[in-house]
Amino acid sequence: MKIVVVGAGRTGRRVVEHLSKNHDVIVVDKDPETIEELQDLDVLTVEGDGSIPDTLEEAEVAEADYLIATTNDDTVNIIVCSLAKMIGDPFTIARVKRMEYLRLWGRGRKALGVNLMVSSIPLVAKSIANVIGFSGLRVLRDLYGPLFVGDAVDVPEGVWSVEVAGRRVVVGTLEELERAYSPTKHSRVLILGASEMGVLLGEMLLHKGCDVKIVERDKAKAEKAASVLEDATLVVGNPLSTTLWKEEELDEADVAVAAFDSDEETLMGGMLSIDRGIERTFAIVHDGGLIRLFEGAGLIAVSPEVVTADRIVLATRGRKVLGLVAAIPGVRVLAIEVDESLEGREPSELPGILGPVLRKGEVILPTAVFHLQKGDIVTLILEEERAGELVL
Amino acid sequence: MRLKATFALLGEIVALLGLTLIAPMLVAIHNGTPIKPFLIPLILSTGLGLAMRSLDRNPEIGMKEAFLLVSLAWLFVAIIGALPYMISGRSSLANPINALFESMSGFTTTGATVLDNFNEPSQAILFWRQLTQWLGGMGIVVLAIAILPRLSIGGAELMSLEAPGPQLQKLTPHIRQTARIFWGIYVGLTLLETGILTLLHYLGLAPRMTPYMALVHSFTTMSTGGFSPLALSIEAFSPAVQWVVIVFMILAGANFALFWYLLRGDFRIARNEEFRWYVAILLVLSLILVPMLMRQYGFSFPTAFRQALFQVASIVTTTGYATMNFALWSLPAQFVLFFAMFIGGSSGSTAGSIKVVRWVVAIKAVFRELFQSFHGRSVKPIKLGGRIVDERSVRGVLAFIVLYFVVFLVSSVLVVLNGTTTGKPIPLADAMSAVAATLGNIGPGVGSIGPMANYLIFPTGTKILMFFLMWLGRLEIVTALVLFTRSYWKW
Repeated sequence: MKIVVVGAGRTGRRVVEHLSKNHDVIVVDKDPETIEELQDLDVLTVEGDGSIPDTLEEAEVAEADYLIATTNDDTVNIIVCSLAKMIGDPFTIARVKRMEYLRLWGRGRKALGVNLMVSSIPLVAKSIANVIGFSGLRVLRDLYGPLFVGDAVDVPEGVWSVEVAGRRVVVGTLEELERAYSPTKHSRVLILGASEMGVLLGEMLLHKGCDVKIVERDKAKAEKAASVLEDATLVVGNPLSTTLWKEEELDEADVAVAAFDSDEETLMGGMLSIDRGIERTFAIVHDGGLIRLFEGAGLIAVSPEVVTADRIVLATRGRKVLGLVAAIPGVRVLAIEVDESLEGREPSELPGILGPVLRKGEVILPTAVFHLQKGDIVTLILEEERAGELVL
Repeated sequence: MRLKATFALLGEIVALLGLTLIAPMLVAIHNGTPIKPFLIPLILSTGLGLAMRSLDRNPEIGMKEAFLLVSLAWLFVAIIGALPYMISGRSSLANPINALFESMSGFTTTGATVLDNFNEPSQAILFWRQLTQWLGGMGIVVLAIAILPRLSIGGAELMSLEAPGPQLQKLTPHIRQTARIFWGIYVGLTLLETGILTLLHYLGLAPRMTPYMALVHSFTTMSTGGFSPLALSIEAFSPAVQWVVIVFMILAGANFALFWYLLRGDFRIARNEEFRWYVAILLVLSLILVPMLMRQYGFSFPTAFRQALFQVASIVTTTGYATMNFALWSLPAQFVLFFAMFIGGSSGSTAGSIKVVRWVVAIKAVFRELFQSFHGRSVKPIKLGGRIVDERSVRGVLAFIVLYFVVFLVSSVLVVLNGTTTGKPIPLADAMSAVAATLGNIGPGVGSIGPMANYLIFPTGTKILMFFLMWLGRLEIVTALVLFTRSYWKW
């Protein structure tokens, strides 16, 4: 397939890395240095402003199957999609940061010439809100239908699990997982930083019935957040100050989330939180390349960049792939619909490990002599490195 | 430095080259001449290649290793290519130094020869000599990228180090496709020329241009190599053949990417600044030569124009064919050709030397210096075809030209010195033209190494120097020269 990617920042680059092996990718960026850094990837590059029609025509948008706009500017991304729709007829994907656009787009899905609008903020907030009460899991994401995928610290009996890339991956329905892990309903959650991500997460957690306390250095930001989150406690002060931690009894939280806008501050805040005895501390890592560093510090890293890139890659996967979870570092979990080409295959003939299967709405656990039937929805667990080359 | 990975990939290229020896072997089998000269290197290089390949199962290399890989590939290829000459043991090529010289001259499409008697080697050996030029023309590494999947990772960097010109123009998202397009156009044009020449033969316009001759001359036209299995080069053929060869030499010296666009109905070739300069240079230099040739030889205008255009195209595109012995031309006429040796074809072609696009950028940069000397505060970007050339590229072009002339001057002095110390004095002018002809991958020079002469007059030391000059010239100096800097080998 022909795919044009406009904007090769961190998210754009991640998307390109995934797609370049199997597709013809043309990347547009206006920064010559960014273009230079793409030289190690097998793609065609066009230096220029993607919001100018000429640049898009040079990038052969007229013949493209997909157009992915991932610049840092929401308005540019939307304009690029609209222009692309006038030049050709690609499936357009726009990444946006501001929730207002996402809400507007949600009202009429075809608005603005954008076929799919992706924003990292709700994706990340939701993924943390999902798992917050499960002390035995680092990650919990919905894959497809009733099936959920988790990254387990420990695996209780009665849960399907497999070890891939040093991670214990569990797959099951939400009821199964809740029965096995018995999550706490009303956690006390401390959020460090009233960033957009932090505020939205706070909103979701309050909704779930959690107690939320947010610490923010900037008074104006804190006030704005307080007006949105009436039931949360907004503390203004230095989140890294130990006196503040004592005064506000922050260390009594069950779970903490470091959600600053800068990764440096997030790492400091997260490490402080662990040091103060909050073992279960999440960290929002903007630079996906630093995930290992954060994990090394004992934090549960969630990267908006990775989550966004995977949502975009999933959209280009075509009809066969119904769901994708990539929030577990080093691991990919896919939900795939079995068609003629996969029918009758045995588990050993698949390009990954076969997990629970959905057959006619029921969950079946696979055995060694399992035969795939048309219409089955199978879960496939594989190492991240191999996912880019996955051919189905 | 990931040496294992580098040598593993080098092994693939070596093995690939080994397989190309099958072609001359078939010629030898057909003629009933010995196949040993091809069979031994074939077994040796595929064996060595496969052994090297197993050094690293999943080789990945970076920019730094790319320099080493491409440079070594061309050395290894030249050494393997020399084996048939040595093993066959006939003619002046049996001498190992001569064999290495001839092989490097072949693969780098230089066309300088140390073969004195064209009747001595078997037809299969002469076929191999032609084939080396054709393989080297579009590039061994480009071929490897087009065929071998493991080389397509990081292939763009490898290809840019081998491809002539300051920049590699990627045509498609995948480098493998681009390599295939380049090779496809190359094969297509070679077949087209073979077809036209064969047609001329059957129409009775080219009695000596048999289908075999048409093929082996197309090999060395499209690669801008210039080897011919005949001592007389293209002088042996009729004017009709000469015109066809002129056209294909000019095509071979143009940017192949432009042909690709042309095939897709995109006529940017007509607007391409380098291409226009390239054609203008060919015409202007020929027209300067026409009156000189008319006076010296009493030619009519059409004959003089054909002779002038042929030799100019041959030298500018760095092919090195000749339709007359231009070493006997008047001194001013010879000087025009000497000057032409430093121009070179277009970027993205199979030609050697400095390249038209570099001269265009350099001359624009010089004019800018003049302009800015009295407009000290002015800003004036250099443009090429309406697009701004970034300053780093401009500096790169200027540095390349300086480097080219430094290598040229130092080597000329070394050639003269070596001649004097071995008791075979070489005139300075001959030494300079020989160095320009090897460094620029042209082949024949003026003076005592004219198109009908050979490089046997030079002492062994000089031949070894020229072996490396041809290598440097094909890799456009920088790729190979960085290996000789200390910092390259440090962390």
